[in-house]
Amino acid sequence: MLQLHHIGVLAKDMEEAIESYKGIFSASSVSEIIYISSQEVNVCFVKIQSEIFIELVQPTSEASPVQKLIKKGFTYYHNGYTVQHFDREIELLEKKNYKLLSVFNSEAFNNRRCAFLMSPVMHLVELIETA
Amino acid sequence: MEKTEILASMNKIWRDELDNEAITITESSTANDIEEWDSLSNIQLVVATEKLFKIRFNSAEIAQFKNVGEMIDCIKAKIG
Repeated sequence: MLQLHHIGVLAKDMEEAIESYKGIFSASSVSEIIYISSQEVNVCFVKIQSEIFIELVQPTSEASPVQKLIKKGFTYYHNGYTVQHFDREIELLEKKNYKLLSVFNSEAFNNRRCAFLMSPVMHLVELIETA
Repeated sequence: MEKTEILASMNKIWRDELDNEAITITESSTANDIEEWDSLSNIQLVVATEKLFKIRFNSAEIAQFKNVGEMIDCIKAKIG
């Protein structure tokens, strides 16, 4: 079962984005900035509800696909869901013609496994294995 | 359908999806040859190809494609 964890949005300037969200939510709702090496991005979580976050994503490399999205003017990036049965959920989504893009261990989630999949209508989904 | 016909259709998909009319792919083309062809746009290309030929690729097939020619071989095998 997929539990919404976060909505990933792109941030060209992380500090500016953090300041903007601090104006809406409290400063204490903003996490520290975490570097995810495999994705070459910095991320920062803004708590908007109990256990639901906005994930600010900033590319750290010019070659990053995320950088290309920003250059194209995209701001929405993906929805992130926690899942208990990681491999089984990937299998189920693949049967629904989701395409597996990558599986990686994320520093943002204590090095737990994460996966990016693209839906048949080209919406990007991230699965995060629960502890 | 002949390989050349499949390649012609794929060229149209690549140009449309990557928004670049100057793109021409051949059987030996890979993502390294085209700047706009990255990991995200690769899935766009795969999904558009599936829709056009009314087929489905599984993740193992997608991961194994070394170039456009191998994708064409797979399409040809699926459509008969």
